[in-house]
Amino acid sequence: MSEFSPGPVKDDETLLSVVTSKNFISNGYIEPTLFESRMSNGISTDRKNYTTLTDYDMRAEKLVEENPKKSNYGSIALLVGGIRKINLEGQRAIAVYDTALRENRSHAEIACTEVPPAGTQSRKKLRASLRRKVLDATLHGGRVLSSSALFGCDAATSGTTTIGDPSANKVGGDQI
Amino acid sequence: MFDCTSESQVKQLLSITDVVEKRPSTLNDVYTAENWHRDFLDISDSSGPHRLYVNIKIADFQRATNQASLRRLGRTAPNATATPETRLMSNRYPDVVTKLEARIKEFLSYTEDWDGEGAKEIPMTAIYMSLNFLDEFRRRFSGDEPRGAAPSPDGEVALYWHGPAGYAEVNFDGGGGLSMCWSVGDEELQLIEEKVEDGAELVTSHVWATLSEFLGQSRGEETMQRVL
Repeated sequence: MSEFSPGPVKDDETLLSVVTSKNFISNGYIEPTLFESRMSNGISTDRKNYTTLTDYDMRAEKLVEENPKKSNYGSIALLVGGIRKINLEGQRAIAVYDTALRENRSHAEIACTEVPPAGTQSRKKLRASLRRKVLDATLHGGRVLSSSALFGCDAATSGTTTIGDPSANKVGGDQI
Repeated sequence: MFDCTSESQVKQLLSITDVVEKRPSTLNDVYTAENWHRDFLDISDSSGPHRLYVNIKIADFQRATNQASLRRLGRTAPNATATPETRLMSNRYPDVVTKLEARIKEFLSYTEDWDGEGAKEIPMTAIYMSLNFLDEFRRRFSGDEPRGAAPSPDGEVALYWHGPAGYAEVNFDGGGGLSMCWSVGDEELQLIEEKVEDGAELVTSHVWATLSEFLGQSRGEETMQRVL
């Protein structure tokens, strides 16, 4: 554990993640494929309990400033317990680690224990598990919200999204 | 801000008609919007005040290219507007499948690195197959439509169903490959894969049969949950 760490990440904690591509947003809701490009390198998140709106916003801007294809399109909140429970063939496939940094003690990483090569059956299964868990674990029904809404600083949590059509339900039919 | 002279120069430079006249190859399949984008940025000051105008024009061109691609696929009427359906307000879609189709058509513009993290281009074949799949689905499974259609950074289109009774997804890749992952309740995830040479074979595929069974089973589970 890092010397800057506030402690291990607990299952009932909330992680915040910046959505950097609008292509993962449909009608204001997140696509379950959001994290797949980052499976190999780890998915950086912030632990909501250990950061502030100002710090989070500053990091979000820094995250996108060096890549012209990225912008800050809002954020999502995930419940740790939901994303952590991914097992494949009897083994834990996804872990959530406390990876506190000197400049960001709230830093946590969602990491795949092993990322199979593209096109393999193992990868397809891992992708599907991750997609399902993203849908299960994302708070606010999967809506992409402004950081201020996620920190409870405006009325957005009760009905306003930052992207897309807030009044629209997710694209498809009734849930199975 | 930039002065009127340079603005008019940019407008003249960026006229799509003008570009098409000067570069007839723009209409070829080979010459994609991405090439056009790159060439264009070479001749304009991408970091200057013209950038916004450049981006708007690029988006216009990409939309027109997408529409042309869909016409080639026979998915839209030849005289349809170049405005993509995806830009319509959600309550103007006549049904869920039409809304999903509009989402899938957006993937036509997802060229290499569409997420800024190295995502693969969504191939035309995958888009075509998923649209055909939805067409058939509309006829046979009304009420059980997928919850969404998502682009995969692996260069595939995914249709997915998600709810308390389980999860299922059907993936379409660029080589005619079809795969389905599903799990009923909390059971372990299962996977089947196959190749489909022709869109007409979709309804006779194993994936189609398995999905039918899954949806039937899920309906049963949902009913049981409501009864209990």
